[in-house]
Amino acid sequence: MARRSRSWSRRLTGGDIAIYSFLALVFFASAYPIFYVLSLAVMPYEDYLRHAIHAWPSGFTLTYFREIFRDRLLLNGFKMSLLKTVVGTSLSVVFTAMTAYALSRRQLRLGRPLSVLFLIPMFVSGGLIPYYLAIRATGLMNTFWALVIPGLVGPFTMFVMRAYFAAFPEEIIEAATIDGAGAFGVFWRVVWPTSTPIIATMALLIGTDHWMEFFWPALLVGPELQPATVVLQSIMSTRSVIQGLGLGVRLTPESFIAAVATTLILPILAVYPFLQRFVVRGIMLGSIK
Amino acid sequence: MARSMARISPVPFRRPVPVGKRAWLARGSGARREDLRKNWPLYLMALPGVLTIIIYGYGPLFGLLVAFLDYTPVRGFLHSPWVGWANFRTAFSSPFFAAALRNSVIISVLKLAVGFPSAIVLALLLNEVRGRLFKSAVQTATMLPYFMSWVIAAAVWRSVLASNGIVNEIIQELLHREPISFLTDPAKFRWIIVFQDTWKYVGYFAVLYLAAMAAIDPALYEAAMVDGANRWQQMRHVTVPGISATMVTLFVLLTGWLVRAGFEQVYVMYSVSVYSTGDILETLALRLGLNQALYGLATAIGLFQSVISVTLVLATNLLVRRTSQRGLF
Repeated sequence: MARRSRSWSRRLTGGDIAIYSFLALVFFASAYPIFYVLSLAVMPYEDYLRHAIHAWPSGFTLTYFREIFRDRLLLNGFKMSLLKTVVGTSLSVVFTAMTAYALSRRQLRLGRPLSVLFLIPMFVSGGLIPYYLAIRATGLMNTFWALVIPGLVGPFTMFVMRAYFAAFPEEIIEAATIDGAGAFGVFWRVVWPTSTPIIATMALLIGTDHWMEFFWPALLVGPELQPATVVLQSIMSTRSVIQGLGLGVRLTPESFIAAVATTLILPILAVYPFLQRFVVRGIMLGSIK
Repeated sequence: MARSMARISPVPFRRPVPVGKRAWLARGSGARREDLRKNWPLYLMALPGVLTIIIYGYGPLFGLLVAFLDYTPVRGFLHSPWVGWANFRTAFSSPFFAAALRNSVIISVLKLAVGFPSAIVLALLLNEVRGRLFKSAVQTATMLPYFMSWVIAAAVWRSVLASNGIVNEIIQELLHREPISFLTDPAKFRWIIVFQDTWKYVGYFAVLYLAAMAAIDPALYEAAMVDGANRWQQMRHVTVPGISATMVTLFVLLTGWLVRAGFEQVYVMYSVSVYSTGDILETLALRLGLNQALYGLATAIGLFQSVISVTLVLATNLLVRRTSQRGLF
């Protein structure tokens, strides 16, 4: 904050107190709901019964997570989530990077028109039903590939990577070309290994999106291919899985749902510092321009 | 990297490369074939990406035609009869459509009315905070919801607002009142959606405004302080005008979403009991299209939305430009 350049040793004013308290309230309102779900997921059944208000976990148990592993639908769901995220992210990152690199090369006469091709779908879309029909028309309905192919090269990530590759030192590429490398070789052996920061960041963003995606997987695939997010939503709205829960184990459905949600949330929390840093930095850079 | 760059001559000669679409067209087929022959590996690299964007980015645009057909998947595109505006007429005369449109607009307006100022207020207040730890803690907490997808946000808020969730527990145990059914009460549903949307996005938009605030010239603050302005007056006369460009841009963009009330969010949070206030155009289209196989009708609704969105953005931009000489484009 440039305007506070001189040191300001003064007492707290009423305004300060108001601001700090309000922000503390905002902090609480933002973070507590997530904390609440996490605490429900680990709260033992006996503690749940004992207290009327469950504001924070009074015990710790992994029973609910064990139950997730016992449930076939959920286990399959998390397996699909993982598969979708790993396969989808790797394919996306690789193909987006290749596309972005190729379109960043100035000697391509079709380079500019092809880039514009990616620009328009960012603003114009056919809508729900037409997109659904397109997936159906290409025979992807109820296949694993429906979860991975349609968003393979997203325009936004493509443009970000293209800008990065466009700024890649031309001399290095020329040196490699002189040494006899073809376009593929230059990309894989020279550009890709030295572009780890941008690739890692894009992989993080794409991976997060894949992990948390709900809507299209819900519409396009059947129960065997549904990722955990879809199973979570069906548990929440129909409570169907709850009936089949842990015979002989005492649990509350709320905690079970919370455990499923927690398993989905935890990876996001784990990579959250990086996500936050990238997004904030991107915003700051974008606004300076 | 620096070493290898030093070895190469500082100014490599580059043949001028024609840029732009016109150059490509103007040169003639010989040059084009030469380009393909020389650069085919690069084109091959871009092929998967280009193919997918054409199929799934532009393909659906052709699918918009379904709005004018009496389409069934069995008959396919070619054999579905053309019905012109019939689908639109059916849609506009349906009471469900009217209700969905009303709900879409009301929810969007409420989201704008609540969320837009909230982000600005949050940014203004965060700007005043001197403790870096506190400031970064609040920023971290408020940005976290942004990264949760709606289904997870729904899981979180359904837990919190359930009849045996923490909010109702406090109401029952500490306030000794009856539990409130937040999610099944049509009167409350809209506000839940609005509040949840604010919860998700306020941190993100606040960062946008903070970035704009960082760009304000410190000399303006000093001049204000010299004139005796206190912090609130500085906020009003220096900070807010300083971020007005960002505010306008975001406002224009957000009005384009006036008929799009947040599909996935409503879809995961709503239930039949709140259709009267919670059913929006997209959810209606979804049910009509996929559950009742009324593809033409559903597509017509979607097309209607897109047209209105674009019109709104352009209209708002025009209006804003007229009144304040500033606009998005």
